[in-house]
Amino acid sequence: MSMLNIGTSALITTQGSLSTTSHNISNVNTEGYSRQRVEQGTRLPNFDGGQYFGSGVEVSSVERIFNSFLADQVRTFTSQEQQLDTFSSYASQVDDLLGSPELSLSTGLQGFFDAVQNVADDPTSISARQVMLTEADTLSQRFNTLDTQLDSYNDQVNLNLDSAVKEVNLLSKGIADLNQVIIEASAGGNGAPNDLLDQRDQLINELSALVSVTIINQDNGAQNVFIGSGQALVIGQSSVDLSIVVDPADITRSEVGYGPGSINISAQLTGGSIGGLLTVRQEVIDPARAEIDALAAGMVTTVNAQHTVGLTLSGNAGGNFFEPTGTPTPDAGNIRLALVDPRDIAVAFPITTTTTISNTGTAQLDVNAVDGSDPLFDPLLALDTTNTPSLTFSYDAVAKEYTVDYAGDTATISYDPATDSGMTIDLSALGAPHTDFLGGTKPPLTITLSGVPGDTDSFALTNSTSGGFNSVGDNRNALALAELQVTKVLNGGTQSFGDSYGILVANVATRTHQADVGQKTQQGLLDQTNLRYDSVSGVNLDEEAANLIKFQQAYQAASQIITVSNTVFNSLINSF
Amino acid sequence: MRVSTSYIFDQNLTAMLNQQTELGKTQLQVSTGKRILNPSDDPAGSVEILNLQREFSVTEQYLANADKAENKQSLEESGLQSATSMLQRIRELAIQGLNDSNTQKDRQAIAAEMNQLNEQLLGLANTRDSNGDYVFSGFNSNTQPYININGTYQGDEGQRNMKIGAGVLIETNDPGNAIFESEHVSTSIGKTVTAGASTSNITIVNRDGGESMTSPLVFTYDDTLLPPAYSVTDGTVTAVIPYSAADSGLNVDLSTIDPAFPKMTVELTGTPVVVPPLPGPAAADTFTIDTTTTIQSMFKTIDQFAKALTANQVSSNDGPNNGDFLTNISTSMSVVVDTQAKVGSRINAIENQREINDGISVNMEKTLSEIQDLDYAEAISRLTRQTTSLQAAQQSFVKVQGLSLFNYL
Repeated sequence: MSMLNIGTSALITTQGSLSTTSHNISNVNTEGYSRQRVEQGTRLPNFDGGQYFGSGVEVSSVERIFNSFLADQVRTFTSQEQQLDTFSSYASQVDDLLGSPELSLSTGLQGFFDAVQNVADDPTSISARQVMLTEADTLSQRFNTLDTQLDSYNDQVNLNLDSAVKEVNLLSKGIADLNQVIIEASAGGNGAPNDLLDQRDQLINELSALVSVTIINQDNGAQNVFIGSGQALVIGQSSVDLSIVVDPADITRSEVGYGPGSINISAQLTGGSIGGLLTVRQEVIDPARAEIDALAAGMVTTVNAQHTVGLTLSGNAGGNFFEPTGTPTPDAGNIRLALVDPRDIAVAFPITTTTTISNTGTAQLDVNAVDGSDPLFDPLLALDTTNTPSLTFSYDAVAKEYTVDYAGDTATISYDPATDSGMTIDLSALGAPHTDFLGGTKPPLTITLSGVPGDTDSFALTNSTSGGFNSVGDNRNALALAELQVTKVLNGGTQSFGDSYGILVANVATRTHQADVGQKTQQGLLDQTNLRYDSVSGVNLDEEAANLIKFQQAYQAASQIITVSNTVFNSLINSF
Repeated sequence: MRVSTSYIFDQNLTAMLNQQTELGKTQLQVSTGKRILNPSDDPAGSVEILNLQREFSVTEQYLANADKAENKQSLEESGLQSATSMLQRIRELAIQGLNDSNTQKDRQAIAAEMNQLNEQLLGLANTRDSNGDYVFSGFNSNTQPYININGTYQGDEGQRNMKIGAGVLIETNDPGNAIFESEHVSTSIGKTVTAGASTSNITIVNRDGGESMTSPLVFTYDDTLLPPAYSVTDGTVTAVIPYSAADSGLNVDLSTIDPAFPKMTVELTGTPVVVPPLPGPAAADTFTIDTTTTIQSMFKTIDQFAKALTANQVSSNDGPNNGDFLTNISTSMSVVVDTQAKVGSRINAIENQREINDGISVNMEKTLSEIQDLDYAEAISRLTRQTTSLQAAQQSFVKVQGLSLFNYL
């Protein structure tokens, strides 16, 4: 009788093993599935005649082969890898955008300044002026396009944050529900609900791809999930929803809110695609936008400042070249060309120099720059008109100095042709070592003195507009505009426009490169951890095939026990 | 270590996908010929490319500017060249016209040709470039510099610069007044008669030296000398030229009397009057030879001379100042030639700068190519290697996937 019982126990146990093996085989491709194994043990022995007789086999438990340390590691690396992956995918879009020759500001700036030089070459050519306007328009459109593109990346970040938050909410709800089921299923000393545990682990894995999580195991089988700096997402059977809140400082930016109060916890969140989205916005998209905006604003300010100093082809004051100038503040999104008529490009300087015809020396006086920074500056009346000519220079060869006469005030500028030729002097800041003007205004000019003046040689400077404007061939303001290409005007006078753009490209490229490398490293770590995790929990079909054979043989053997038991029983019956 | 079946599958698949990505990138590199496809491939290199491209295209612009500047300068140079040869012809005509063997008719014919040349010169001064801009009117390039022969310069002295190199500006025009206007010397003889009817006269016969005088020469007749003579002084040096009425028609080269005097031959004629020093100061005929210098356009100078030729008034004393014409035309010519030399040296400077820019440009192109262009040999061998290893991965995948114990059950 006991033999039959033992055989039966073996059959039942082996059937359990066979079905678990089949379960393993059938779930070979199930995401998150951990292989299971039947743990079997001997049944309680029978005490008979002073001896203990074995009474067969029984299933002690169905184990889930699982290493929670490796599972944690997989989650950590998944979070990090996902963050870098998201970061790198956005950063490389910005990288592509800034680097593409079709959109690059570098090409746009070059085209514009080339056109400016062509106008300087032929100041009266309407076609050259038209090309300059077209190039300026193209440049501002490039700014606009870059701005729109960067805006659209920002929008994508918002959209993706939104969908990620919705997914987090679904997952946390699922985890809370599974916690409930697991608590009920494992209550009262029942075996562990392995497949439910796998499902919950899988949900947590998916969650870790969205944001870094911390898991705390509870005694009742539930797992509590925390994100950020300890915000509880799942506690037992209940979950807390995340939401999207709008940044009050900038309505175009979405942030992650927590709980019913929608408290902004973006700053606390790291890891996963949410972490990636938040970092790439903060470290790549925002700085790029700020940099491009600064570049556009700098372009508007400096080009306008130079342009308004000059005179147009018709002798009118040069207006603003780019818009807007005040409100709204100029940025890459709103920069646009202010001029329509190519004749309105201010190519000429407002000052005409006349060398006195009886000069005996070879001295020259050139106006290098006109300072239009005074808000009251008017190129039509750049110089005071109290006297005619407005400003005179006359040389005293004995004292080796020029006497400057301006609006009734005089000053002297010492000039020794042997050492000072090519001397540049800012008249608006005229001071020591030259004798200062005594009170009154100063001419807003920077001039260069060169050559050897004869005694009493003199120069006279007047407004180009005085007595009718004729200097249509004057290209000095165009040369000054062209010079802005290489002048370091941005960032406190340390960078030219091109430099500034180059630095932006370099920064984005470096961050992208860094994220790419980081992502590859994390991918490698994740692969290795996955390999370890799978080597513990994954299903190997060959192993299962071998197990199938093993358990089949055990089953056959157990069947033989039943047969033998039957034979033994028959021989006993037949002996009567 | 045990390995799960799905892991083997996934790993193989991932490995193949990665290889395909790499292969795709190499293929893109080969098809574009570029080593750096995105700035992040090589951040330092791509910024260098941006900078080099910027510098390269700036240099190209300098080269284009240099071409334009050279065109403008060549236009000016050829204009000045014609002006020089016209001035030479005018000078020849003047010498021919001054020859005493000419009749008034001859001189009128010469003057006609001279006027013709003068008109051509004026036309040259009013040259326009391909933009319709006047070449010789400074910044006032829409203003015709000289309206007519006697017109004053309408332009200004603006000199337009072009940028032909980093920090290298080159002037591309010269204002007309610096070319067509120059010092105009006119010599005058003034006579002061102190008493009675004086028949004395001094005329300039020849002043081949042509130099202008630094101070006036004063001739004072003094009959107390033995023999009576003109005392000549330029303020520092004093000499005497013995002369009495009997010597009328005497030609004296002043520079032979004293080397400090200008090379000038004067003819002394008539009877100087002297009032003896009865009570009161002695008084005598006094002549002052002086030159005045003004700035005048060459057109006006030539026109004045041509008019004098037509009127047959070409002796040294005839107005307006014909005796100085050769000097003046030489001055004009030397101003034009000087400007021509300036233009020539600018063209040289442009060519030098262009060579420098060409060198820079070639160097930058080379560096740019080194940074951004693909090493084809390396890329092709990489492509081959990647293709081979992808193939191997695919084949081994199929082989490994076929391996299963279940095949034997």
